[in-house]
Amino acid sequence: MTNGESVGESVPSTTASSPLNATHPPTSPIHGRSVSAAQPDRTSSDSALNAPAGSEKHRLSSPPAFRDPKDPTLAVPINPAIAALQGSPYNRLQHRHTLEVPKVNTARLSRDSQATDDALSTGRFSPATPTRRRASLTLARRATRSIHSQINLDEVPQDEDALRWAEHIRQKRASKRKRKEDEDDERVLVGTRVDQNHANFVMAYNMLTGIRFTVSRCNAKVDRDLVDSDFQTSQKFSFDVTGNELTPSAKYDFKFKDYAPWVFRHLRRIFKIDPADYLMSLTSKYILSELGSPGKSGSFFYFSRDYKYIIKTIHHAEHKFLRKILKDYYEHVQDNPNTLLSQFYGLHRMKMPYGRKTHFVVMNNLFPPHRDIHRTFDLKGSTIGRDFREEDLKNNPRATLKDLNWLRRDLHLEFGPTKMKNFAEQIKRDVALLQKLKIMDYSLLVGIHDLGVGNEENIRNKTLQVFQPGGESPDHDPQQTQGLQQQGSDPSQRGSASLQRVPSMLTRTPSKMETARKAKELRQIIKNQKPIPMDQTVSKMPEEVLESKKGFYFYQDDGGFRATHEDDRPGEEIYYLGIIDCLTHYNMIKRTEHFWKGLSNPKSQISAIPPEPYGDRFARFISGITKTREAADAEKLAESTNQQPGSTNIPAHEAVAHAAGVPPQQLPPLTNDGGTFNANANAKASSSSKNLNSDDPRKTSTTTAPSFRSNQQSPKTEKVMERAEREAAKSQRKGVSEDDVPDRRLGAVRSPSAERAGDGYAGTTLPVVEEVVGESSASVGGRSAGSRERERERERDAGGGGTRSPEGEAERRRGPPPHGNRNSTGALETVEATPPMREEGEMARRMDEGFLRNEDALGKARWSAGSGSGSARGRPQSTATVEERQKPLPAVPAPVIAESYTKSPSPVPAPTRFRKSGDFEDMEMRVQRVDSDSPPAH
Amino acid sequence: MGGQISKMMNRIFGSKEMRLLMLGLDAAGKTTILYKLKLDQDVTTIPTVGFNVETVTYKNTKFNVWDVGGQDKIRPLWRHYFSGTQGLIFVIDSNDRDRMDEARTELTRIIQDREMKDALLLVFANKQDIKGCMKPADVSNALKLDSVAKNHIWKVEPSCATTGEGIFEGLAWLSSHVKTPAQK
Repeated sequence: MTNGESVGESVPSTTASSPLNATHPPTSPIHGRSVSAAQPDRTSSDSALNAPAGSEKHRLSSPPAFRDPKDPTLAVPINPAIAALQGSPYNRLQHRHTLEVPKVNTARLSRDSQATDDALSTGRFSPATPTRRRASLTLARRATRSIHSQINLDEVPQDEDALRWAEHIRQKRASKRKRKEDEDDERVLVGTRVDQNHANFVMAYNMLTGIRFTVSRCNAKVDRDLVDSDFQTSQKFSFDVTGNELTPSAKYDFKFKDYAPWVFRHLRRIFKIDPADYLMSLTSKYILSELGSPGKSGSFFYFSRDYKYIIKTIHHAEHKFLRKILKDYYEHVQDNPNTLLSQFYGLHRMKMPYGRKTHFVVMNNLFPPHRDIHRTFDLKGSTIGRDFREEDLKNNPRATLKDLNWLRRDLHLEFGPTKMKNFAEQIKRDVALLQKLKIMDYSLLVGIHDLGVGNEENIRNKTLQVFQPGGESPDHDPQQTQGLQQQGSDPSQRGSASLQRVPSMLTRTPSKMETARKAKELRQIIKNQKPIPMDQTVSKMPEEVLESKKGFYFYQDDGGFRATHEDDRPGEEIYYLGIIDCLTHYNMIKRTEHFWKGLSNPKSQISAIPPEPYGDRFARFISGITKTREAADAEKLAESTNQQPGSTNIPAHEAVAHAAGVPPQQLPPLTNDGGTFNANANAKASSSSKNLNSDDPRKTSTTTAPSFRSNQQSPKTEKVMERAEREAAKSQRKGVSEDDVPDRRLGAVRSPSAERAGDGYAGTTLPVVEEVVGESSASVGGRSAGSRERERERERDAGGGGTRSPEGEAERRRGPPPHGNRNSTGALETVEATPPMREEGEMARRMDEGFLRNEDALGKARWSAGSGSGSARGRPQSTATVEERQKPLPAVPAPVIAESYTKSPSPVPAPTRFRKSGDFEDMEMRVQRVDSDSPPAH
Repeated sequence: MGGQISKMMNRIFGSKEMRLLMLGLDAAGKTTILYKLKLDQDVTTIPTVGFNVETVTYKNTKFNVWDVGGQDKIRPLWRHYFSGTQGLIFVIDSNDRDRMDEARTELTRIIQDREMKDALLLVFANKQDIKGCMKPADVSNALKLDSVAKNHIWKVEPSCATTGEGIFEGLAWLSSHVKTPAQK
């Protein structure tokens, strides 16, 4: 009774004129509702007009409410015509042949025989066009008079006919409309209700079916040596529901193309992948990464069931390029089985009907299934745009960080001599290949697993989702069925969604109906196959070590490469390393990018530079950040010693040697006097790996660097120097004076935290703020030693420095610091100094970012000082910034640090580094104090 | 259209197509049987990881035979080949008494799958040339075909892949028992 509603619609006009309505109150189940609702009074008034009145044509022409023939009220004949109608449907049927208006009768017939719905829905018995309708009306008027004229009231049956006709048409239209709506509903169902993951589900299913098929096909053959043509071959297959002589049946229709199957078969063998494992891992279940949305490249990622492999969609250009370089790649891999380059296991293309061609590769997943990765970095060696905004980190603590974040945290790949040597050597070779192939824009992916933290945070289970594109597994069926039943309870669901599958008859192509049904079922299945978070599934990540990767040098330690100390003792972290995204050819686009970006940025620091320098820079950067913790510490120590007024410059390598010889715990305690920098180094060392607040003794040293440069030749310093020089060049171009500003200003901003040193726990810094410092001091690298010195002088004057928390720490040791009023004043100075600088627009983008934040905070401070309320809302951004500072850091890094450093043999365990969120209340106070201090300066 | 016509012709002249799936434990002789069928040669095979597929025409029937590797590890992949299969050839190493139970388990799992419920079951009791191997009746008992395959039409055919003995007989049986696809 889908037409119930439409019937109702038509009723109001009907009832008005119908003589039946007086005697036939709206009891009919079909239309009773609307009648009673719409026209209770008119019915009664119309009953006065009971006698059919030919004069009231318009009324008579409107159809009467039609009756349920079984309705007892109708047993009483209202008028003879109706009686005839009621009593003898078959008479009417006979009339069909005599009448010249067949449709009238058929309509009546269908009404009488209760076949209305069927008849109407098929449309067979309904008039098709308005012209016909008009014809029928006119005809009916004439014809009915002649045929139905048992009585004079010939108008009535004629009217009946017309009414019915009108009604049918309305019904027809309404049902049409309804059907359309239904269709629309369904479209919505597919388009929006089924979310993104499901759209990819079919894609994933097709991919895996194709991979299974092509890999199975190739691997069943007897192995043979490669010939040149193997690198070019490709095979195309088309899959459909029935399957054919070549392909097994698949759920969906799609085309699949396999490239160079033999080459990849050999590659897999070189990479020691068991074909059976490969098939099983890939084709039984997919894991969706947290990064469900495409990355910057627009690629989708899927992981294999065991998290060993990645399926990554690539662009057509990348695809073509990979095919082009395949031979070189193959040879390189043959010669360097330990390569750090991405390991390609397969290259395929898939196309769905009416869809685009999707190219994808199967690669190794660098990250282990059995270990949480606590931090991920993507390092390129360039700095422009290589920053993940730290403030976004709290929204997405698992984000992949970039070069600047790495530098800011002052991290190192802590490899002892042996590993360092091998690592550097391999990097060199791989980079050489990439340079040869004119590839650039690749990066080193570094995943860090902190053994001190282990898997406690259960990251993998929280961030990954699983689904099973195969879906035919028996244990899966109940779920589907259930889902279908749920759907069945939905009234809009037509009952034809049968759960039983018709046994597939192979040689017959499915009929249209069958296809439609299948499609419907499929939609249900897809709808019900929501990827589920890992922690809700029974299938957990494997907890044991992968055997297969053991043979590879860089994946030897639990699938990764473990940090080692200076004496090659194993360290506290495992790195999961690899060179990824190595399919970008230095082509026209990249050249343009190089040119374009080069306009506004120093050419050496943008990502898009020609392959040769790119590779050199990359390798230099990587080797620059590769050093043991001891070496790094010693270096810092050396640097800070160098910077102490009057102290002798200890060459870095000596310090390193020193540190290497002496167990870290026995390192001489750091001096407290005048030791702001010492304390810096100290704090730095203790926080060396991933504290967010990597304030910058190193960078400080860099900024003061020119005078000491000759003494510090370690790669890291070299790198930092390089950057310093760069910045120097920039600042020379832009005038030195602005460079002084940020540092001063920043120091002032942070000074209150140093003041709090008195409370015994302070001196620790707020990460965001310090970051800002880090950035800006990096940016002021070019400042002359003299200006820097002046500045430091001033800071010291201003109350023992204390611009950075470690300094504050040092001060704390010395005793309660002087009050920081002057610092606050300094802040205000800075505020004043800032705007012109920004107007000149002379800051590098990333610097700008940092300053902005800083400035915002100050602006906020100033603003709120003016308003006298620290919590008042200032400019929106500034408020946000301040609030953000008050917020605790992303929960994760802090415990990491705490854990690792209680265990780590760093010179001074620094529990003070680890801030509780409570400290941030202090921060708030601090901000307010800045506020309160501000007015005098105004 | 052309396909339609040729199908019609096939129907008229009695040519049939049949999709067969050949499974069994590893080293039962599946690939050897396949290439015996196809090439009439005794080829040296390697353990099949994946599948081989060949089309063999015999007695007016075109057999599309899928030989899927039987290694323990990849048996879960078998189910991906079920759909559309009209006949299952299950190959048994008649001399491997120890693994009869394993074979039975696998066979049960296969033919109880929904996709396989209409398939014919032909069991090749292979390696009949080895002395002291199990006879077809023994194999059928060991597999408990009476109960396991009670919903299927089945037959145990003694065979020897290297000599080709029994193989074509098996195919003949399949072709004679295959259900004609539902007309229209």
